[in-house]
Amino acid sequence: MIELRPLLEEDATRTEKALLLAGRADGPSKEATAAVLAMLEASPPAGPATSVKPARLAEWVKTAIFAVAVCGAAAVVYYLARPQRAVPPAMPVIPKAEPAAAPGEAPAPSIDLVSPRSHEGPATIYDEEPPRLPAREGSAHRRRALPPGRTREASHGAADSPRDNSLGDETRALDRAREALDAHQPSTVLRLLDDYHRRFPQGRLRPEAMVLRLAALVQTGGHKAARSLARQLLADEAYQAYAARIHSLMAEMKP
Amino acid sequence: MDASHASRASSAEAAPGRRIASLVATHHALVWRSLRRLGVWESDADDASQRVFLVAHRRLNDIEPASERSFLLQTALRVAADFRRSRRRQREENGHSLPFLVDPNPNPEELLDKWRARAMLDRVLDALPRDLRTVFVLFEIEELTMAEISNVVEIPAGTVASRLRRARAVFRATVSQMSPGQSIKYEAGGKR
Repeated sequence: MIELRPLLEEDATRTEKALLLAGRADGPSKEATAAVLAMLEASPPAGPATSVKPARLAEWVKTAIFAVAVCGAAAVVYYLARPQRAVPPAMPVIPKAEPAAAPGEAPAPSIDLVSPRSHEGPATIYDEEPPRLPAREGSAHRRRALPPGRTREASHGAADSPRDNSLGDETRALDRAREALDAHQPSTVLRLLDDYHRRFPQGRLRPEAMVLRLAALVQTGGHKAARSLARQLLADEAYQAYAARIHSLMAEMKP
Repeated sequence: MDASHASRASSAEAAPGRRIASLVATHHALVWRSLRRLGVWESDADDASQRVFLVAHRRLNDIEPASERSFLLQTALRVAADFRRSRRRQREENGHSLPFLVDPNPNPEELLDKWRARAMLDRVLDALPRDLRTVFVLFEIEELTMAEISNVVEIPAGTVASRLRRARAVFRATVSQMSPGQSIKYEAGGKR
């Protein structure tokens, strides 16, 4: 950039110089300067330095973050400490054996299961015929063994301890049932699945457990009960992913 | 509050006061002159300069020490524009111009020369477009560098140079038209 020189240092005429010099020499009176100082002394002082503002802003941000962290921690504590929701008993009640199957298809047992979709409550699966099986001794004994004032729902809620909440525990429980199924031990499978339902009343692998139960029923030869269960599972949208497997199991059943 | 704390607090409060006093002592003439040459009437110049320093006082903590002059000149440009608008409205309403106040200088002959020179300068500057006038005043009278003017007016340095050349051309043409054969005896002397 070429720096120009002032006219006064160049070829200004005398009049031009006189005008510019008059302009440069002009200025306020001493009284005017004193008046400015007096006015400023009377005026309110300058506000806080703007350099303080970022520091104050940072302080506010820290406070807000701390408050959010405390609220978050409180929410987590509340979530972890909240009482477990009571769940209706979902353990299917399956007879230990199907002695009546041999002569001519004994009545199928009634099976209760909880739909894997949400908390809509247990979906009851009914067979074509009403259940006429005698009450199980063990089941009655367990009911009597409950302490007074305590419901079965509460009992199941208590059984669903944090230790059993992990998906790994569910997977291992079903793996054991599956191994028993592979070993053609359907009664063991049913027992293990009973245990599973007791331990995990809101288990995330309940659909898989129900299909395993269906397979176990097929192995036991209780075809009527198996068909009834299969129909109910196929009617439930939540089991659509298992439809092919359920059809395959039903195909294994001899007419 | 102990004595040392009180002392620190009072010194902290006194610091802005000292700074604004220093600003006034150093730059009041510059601000006042700029306001006058930018079209603020002499009768308004004291009020206008007070307004400039009042703004500076309120925003003292925002002003970097190295940019005090630029800040004051930028503020003066805005205040001058406000005063010009105000006077233009007043002139339109009254239908006439207010006369210049007479300078209470004890020397009538010198007063006449100074007054004539400044009055003529103001008339010549009035002939300049606003943007050219600002650059001309800051460069030729206030002796700012082109870089400083670029910073104050917030235009590129090349634009400053081009405006300055155009302003000089208009200034010279106007002076030659207004004073054909007329000579002004004014020489730089003391302030009023």
